Amino acid sequence: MDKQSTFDDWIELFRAWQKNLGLNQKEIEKYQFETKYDQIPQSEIEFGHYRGERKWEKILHVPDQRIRDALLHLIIYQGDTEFASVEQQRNLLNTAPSDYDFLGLMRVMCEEMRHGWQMSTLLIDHFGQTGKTEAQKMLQRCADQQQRLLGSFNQPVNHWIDFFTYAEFIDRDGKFQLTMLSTSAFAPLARSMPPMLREEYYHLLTGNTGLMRTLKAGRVPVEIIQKYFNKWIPTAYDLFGTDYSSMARWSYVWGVKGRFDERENSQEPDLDNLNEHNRKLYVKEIQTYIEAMNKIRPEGSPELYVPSTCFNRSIGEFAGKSYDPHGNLLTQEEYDLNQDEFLPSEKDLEVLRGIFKNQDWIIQVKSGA
Amino acid sequence: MNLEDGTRTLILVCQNVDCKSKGAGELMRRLEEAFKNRPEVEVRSYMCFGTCQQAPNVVLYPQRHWYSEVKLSDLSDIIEGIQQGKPVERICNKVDSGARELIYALLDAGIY
Repeated sequence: MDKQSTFDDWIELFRAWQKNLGLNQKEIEKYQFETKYDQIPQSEIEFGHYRGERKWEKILHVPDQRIRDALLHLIIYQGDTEFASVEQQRNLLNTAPSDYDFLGLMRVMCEEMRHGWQMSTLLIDHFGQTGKTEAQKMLQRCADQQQRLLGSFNQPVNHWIDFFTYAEFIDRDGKFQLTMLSTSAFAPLARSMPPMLREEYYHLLTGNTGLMRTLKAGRVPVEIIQKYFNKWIPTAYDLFGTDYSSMARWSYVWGVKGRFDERENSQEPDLDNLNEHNRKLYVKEIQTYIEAMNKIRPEGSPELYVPSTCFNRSIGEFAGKSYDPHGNLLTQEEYDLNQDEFLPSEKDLEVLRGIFKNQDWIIQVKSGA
Repeated sequence: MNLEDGTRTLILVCQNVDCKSKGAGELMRRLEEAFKNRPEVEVRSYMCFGTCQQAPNVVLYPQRHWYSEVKLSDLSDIIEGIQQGKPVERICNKVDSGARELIYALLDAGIY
């Protein structure tokens, strides 16, 4: 690996990464990649051991190497997800059901790249040669080769139902993570979050309205849509981390990552269950959106539901266990026999391929992104 | 539906990237000022309507009046329209009806 010296060196790598993915289309070339910071409402550390002290503007102000390491970890993981999502979604540009959707996806991808750019800026500006190396490595890992750091970001996004579900539920986890980082004691990280959150809201809307347009069109069986919920939502649950997480505990104590509702929650945190606290808020939020979708689903179709937090998990106490999406514990044999009822199957893909041949599977929208 | 008959009105002003860059911040500030003494009107920011090419967007709910490409010079007409229960036709409902209905479905479900 060549040693990175400056941010310009990283930009060269970034352009090469884009080209390698086939992303040098004119819409992307027009997009202004830049680092954005916004004001934050609190100049003092908002929670944890250092509460009330001035937020840290430079890494040299951070009082403990373990805290610097935790910040490095958080920024690397956040940045990794941004580039990963672009790798996962890029092939969908060729199958957009409309110009509206093509432009929407293009904008989502550009903004995800900008988020990766933002995290790389933090690494290069604040973390010395280690930061430069990590920013470089972020562009060398690849979702296609299952090299991304978090499970959701190595899963394929094969078609537009996959994408809308991903944008609705995985980007929504993104909203939670960015909100938790927006209260960080490290001021450059906190200031990076408001512009990222504003951009993330568009991504959420893309997923949400995409699913609603699909439901209203009434051509894609609701049972299949549910299976895509069952595919992605458990990976989102995993993104919140394990229970009794020492990483979550110390990140809170050090003031670098708050609860999702940190600014509204006056109660003392349960430091052993921070991840579970945030995950529960996520479940509550997605419940609201799924209830809204149920109001417009075709008459007579089954109700969409939030899969159980026990189902299809890769980390934590339910990892590898054979629960069904409703939270019933099955034998492994029962689970294996019924798996095609819970998760997208080859048969479902075949059905979708047939449906996608006509554009009427989704309500068309004329305005662009 | 107008303020005189007591209709509670939510004025949603998009504050996302495109709308903000075209003056949505000032629009919101002036609407808040105009209705600060009217408890039946709430001016609230909305994070994205998805109709960014026609920014800035302002939506009145439950009236379902969708104003797009709103300029500061439109505000006096919008404010008068809210009071009288009449939309400002020249800038109302110019956004794709499908896009509007999706947002109204979210608002009907209480998501705002």
